[in-house]
Amino acid sequence: MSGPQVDYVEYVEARLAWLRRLAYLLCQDWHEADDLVQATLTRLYTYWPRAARMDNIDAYVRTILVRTFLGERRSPWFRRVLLPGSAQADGVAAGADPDVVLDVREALAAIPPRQRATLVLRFYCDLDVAQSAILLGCSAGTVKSQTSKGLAALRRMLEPAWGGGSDRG
Amino acid sequence: MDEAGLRILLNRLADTEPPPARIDLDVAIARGRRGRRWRRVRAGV
Repeated sequence: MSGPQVDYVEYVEARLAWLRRLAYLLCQDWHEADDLVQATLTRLYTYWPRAARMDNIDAYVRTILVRTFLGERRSPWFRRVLLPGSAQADGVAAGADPDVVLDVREALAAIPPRQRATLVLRFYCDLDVAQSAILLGCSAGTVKSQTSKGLAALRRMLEPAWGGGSDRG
Repeated sequence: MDEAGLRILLNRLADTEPPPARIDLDVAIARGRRGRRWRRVRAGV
């Protein structure tokens, strides 16, 4: 194995768990998440000489992953083969309330992919509006509106199940 | 649900116990290498 390939394998082995988690939040299904990570790692190898020179490889990989996710969701092939409700067979986090986790997963799976990606970038990856806009290739205004629509949709779906949630603001 | 609430829920969801990974790094490298060759061909390098 050559030097750059060793660096690539070392990077992937160190960051695989993080990548899978991020892909899972986007896909809401571990099998789809693994397919997304596989596609991301293939693309990363193609561009590894460029990626390896970057200060923040994680940001570059995150961009590949999110754009691959959104690109796949736009393709007619994906829309045809997507099976509704396939996200329901996965396990839940140890110590977490299974009902809450399932409710959140179903609600996230029901909102459009771009809104979901925006919410994950803003509130899981902690990116600000400008950083999210660069990654998604859209304006800051679009990120704000996608965030607001996504939050409103989650509220609409989750609050009836959780008893109104009027105390949550 | 507010932004802080969603942040907590997303972290909780990300902590879901994952099944064994189905990712094949050798395949990613082989396909990635092919992609790199195609890029070079297209660029005429």
